[in-house]
Amino acid sequence: MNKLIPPLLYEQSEPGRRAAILPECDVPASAVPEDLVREEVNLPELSEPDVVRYFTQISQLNFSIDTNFYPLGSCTMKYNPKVNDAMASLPGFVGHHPLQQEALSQGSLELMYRLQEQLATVSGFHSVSLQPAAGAQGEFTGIMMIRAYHEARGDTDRRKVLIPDSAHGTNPATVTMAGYEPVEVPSDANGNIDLKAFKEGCDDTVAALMITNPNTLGLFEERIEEVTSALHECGALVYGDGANMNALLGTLRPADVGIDVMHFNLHKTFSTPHGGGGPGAGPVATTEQLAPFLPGPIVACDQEGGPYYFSDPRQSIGRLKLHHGNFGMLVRAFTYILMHGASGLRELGENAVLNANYLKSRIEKLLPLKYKRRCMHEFVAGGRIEGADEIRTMDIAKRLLDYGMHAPTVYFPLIVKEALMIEPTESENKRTLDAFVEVLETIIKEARENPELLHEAPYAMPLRRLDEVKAVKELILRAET
Amino acid sequence: MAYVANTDADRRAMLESIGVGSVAELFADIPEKHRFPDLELPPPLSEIDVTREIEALAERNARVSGLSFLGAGAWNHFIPRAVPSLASRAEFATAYTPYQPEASQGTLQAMFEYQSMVCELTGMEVVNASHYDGATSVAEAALMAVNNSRGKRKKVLISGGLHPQYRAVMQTYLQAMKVQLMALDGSANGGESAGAGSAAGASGAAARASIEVFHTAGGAPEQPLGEAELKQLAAAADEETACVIVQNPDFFGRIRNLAGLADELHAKGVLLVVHTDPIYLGLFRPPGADGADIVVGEGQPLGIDLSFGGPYLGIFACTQKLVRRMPGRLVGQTTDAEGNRGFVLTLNTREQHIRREKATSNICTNQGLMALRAAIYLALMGPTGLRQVASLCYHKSHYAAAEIEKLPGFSVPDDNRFFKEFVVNTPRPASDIIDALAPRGISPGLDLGRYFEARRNQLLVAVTEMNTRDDIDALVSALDSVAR
Repeated sequence: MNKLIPPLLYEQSEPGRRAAILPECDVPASAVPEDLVREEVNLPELSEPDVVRYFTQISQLNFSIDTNFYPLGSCTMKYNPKVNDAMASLPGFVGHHPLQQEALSQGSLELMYRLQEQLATVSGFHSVSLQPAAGAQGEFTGIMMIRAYHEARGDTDRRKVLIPDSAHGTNPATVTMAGYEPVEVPSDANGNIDLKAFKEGCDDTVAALMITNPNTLGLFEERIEEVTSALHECGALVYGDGANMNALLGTLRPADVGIDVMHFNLHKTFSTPHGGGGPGAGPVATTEQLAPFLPGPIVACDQEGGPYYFSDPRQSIGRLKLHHGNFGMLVRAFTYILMHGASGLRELGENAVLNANYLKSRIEKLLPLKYKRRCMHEFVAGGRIEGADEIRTMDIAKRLLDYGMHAPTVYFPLIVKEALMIEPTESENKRTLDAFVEVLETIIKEARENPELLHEAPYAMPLRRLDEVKAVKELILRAET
Repeated sequence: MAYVANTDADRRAMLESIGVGSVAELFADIPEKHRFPDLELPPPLSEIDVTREIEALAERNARVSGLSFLGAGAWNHFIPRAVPSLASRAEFATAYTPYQPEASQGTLQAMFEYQSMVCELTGMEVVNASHYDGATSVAEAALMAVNNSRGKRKKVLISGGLHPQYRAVMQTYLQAMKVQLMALDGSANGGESAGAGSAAGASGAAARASIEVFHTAGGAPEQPLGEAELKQLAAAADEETACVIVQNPDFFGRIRNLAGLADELHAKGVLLVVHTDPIYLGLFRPPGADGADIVVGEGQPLGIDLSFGGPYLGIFACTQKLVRRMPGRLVGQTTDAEGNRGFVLTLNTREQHIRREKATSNICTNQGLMALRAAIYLALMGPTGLRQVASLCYHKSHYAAAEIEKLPGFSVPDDNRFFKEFVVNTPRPASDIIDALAPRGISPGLDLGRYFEARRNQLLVAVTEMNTRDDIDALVSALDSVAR
């Protein structure tokens, strides 16, 4: 492959080169404060063709959903329909100022209102706020709502939040930001919450449990209702991390099993593009009991068809970010839900689980699986190969890249040694999954015959294996300018 | 469904491999009474139908082109066509966070370019790979300052003129951390509670951190003015203060000379946090040159659509000294096994996926694609282009202010210098003027009464390079026509 890696922008810069041409100033000049003016900013000087070629060339150094199978566990790298982007780019949406009067913004407001309703329907909850910018902000929102709920009842001695040991790192980090103390709950041999340990820790110092269901092992918490009831009995609430919601589309409404508040990752479940790290969107849904604490503004209307207006819940925890959430992401998710309807969403959920179980049925013959249960939308294998003891998960991951397949999530969840967390997603077909299995078989053969080959992979990428230790040691965070 | 690609034959073969008779059997772990609920949603739509329906919604928004003077934290700036064209490339848009660097050099190199250029722009040593927006950046900057003191300093001083929405977000973010928020001006708690224009107003929200008003020897002025306020802030900072936060240009467009402030604060061990507008930095001295420790900003003007408020870009920069306290992702340079230059995510031990409850923040997904847009924008603008945009904003806004000032009944308070946005005193409630001009397709600015009870007769008017002299003249004569 060895694609061309162009020099950095500053290295290509030539004095006097220009891209953007702006209009002449058509008003008389005013005095500019001399004590504040700076020299020209030291930005690179390039022509538009330079810039276009540069970014096009570097884009080609990426793997992406549109170019590669991307079975990154818990990230739901499924197809992002083009029509979503087209709808979000309509001039009536992209050019609309967020502080434009409500009466002049009825199209945007109606879309937000209907998306709130759609998300409530899919999850079984009473109310939805579209504010949070991402999953982690959704988590923060939910835990702050739980905090506000307890405080409003004068129940102020609760300081702990229980978190299963399979949880994403955002969960404990969120709990700290919300001023609570995270307490880890162990998993049992079947990958469920260890009920005995859990119930022992369940008392009136507990504010909430944060649960991801299906969890990061791809397993459905089998006694979920027992778990949520135990929490409710001691006055605590249950936060649902919606990272894995694609498995539940049309197959379960989280509210039905006792979850009190949850977030959606629109960039996972509802196919908005991940953008190489963001933007996402993390709307939060909740019960009637907690609805007064939701962050505002929320779109309301007094009669079917509007007019729609912004409103703040009575005991709102406040605002999470500027304006009305990541609106462009909301348009994409709305489009996706509208296209699928109830039957289509269920088909997505079913196919996510079918694909994962099929891939698991093939891979369990190749790699060790700690949990033998049926999985939901993903599963976790161990990156250990019989007859190739020195091979590690990272070796397999890097070698997969050579075959044009993105690596699964590696070394997570932490409770599985040498974890390879595999989520094929609902938009892949059997043919792709079979190709992935064939590649894995080849890699396993290579591992046994020539382990060095794997240690030094990848070979076919623009660069060989990168030195992350050196990056930390040297800490070069900007170009020489 | 169009996005599920397995055929019936595939499905049968897959079920056989799994060893079950039907797809439904795969869901046996879900409690039976809750399994496969009926979702009350409309039937699926084709792409033709869905497009028709959503286009109709988009058209229900009023179209205001050159005649919009709304700003207040989100501005109508020029976006070169190459920005959306390059940023929408699927190789960028449909990639994940670059956890496998060898398969993500495009994203990583682009983020490194973003970090490099924004370092130059802000005059800072380190820039992260983006935060959610300008509001969350400033809230996390306050948290970072408190954490940098290892929790010993729990007071945060806010200058007057911090965007009311930024204040509201800070109140949400800091409420659990027992941080004392203090502001100099009397309008501190007179701001919005959540949504501008929301019906509920500023009541409720018992849980939110309140903002206390502090007084200095001279007492708090009605409207803190310019450099005088900076002196009062510096005087009020003490050994319990983690940081002072100054927005420059502020919510009202006012600009101040920050020289000397950082030295006074540093002498007391207090950090200076500056929130700024990146377009302003095209012409004026960056906060880094004035000794700021943390610089945050709203990156929306750098090639990002208004899009009804998001997605935008949180700029987040700091000094090298503070880098280990910084939230969010950082891209660093390294080499591959053959010695070639390459890029990776680095200093991950600050972050939630490694450090969990001890992380500097819970942030995971950021606004990467928006940072990419900013990088493309800055590369296209270059030093000359960016300076020109800033100059156009400066001169056009001053021309508009001077022309409006000439109108009977209108005035522009001359108590401060401004950049591209300014306050206009109106002879009638600003909301009446806005309503009167709406049918003519003119948005004269923001009704400041939406945020501040005492400012009902004030408009906040923003003028950018997108407004021509004709647009400005049209605004001026329109204002004149609705003066009474």
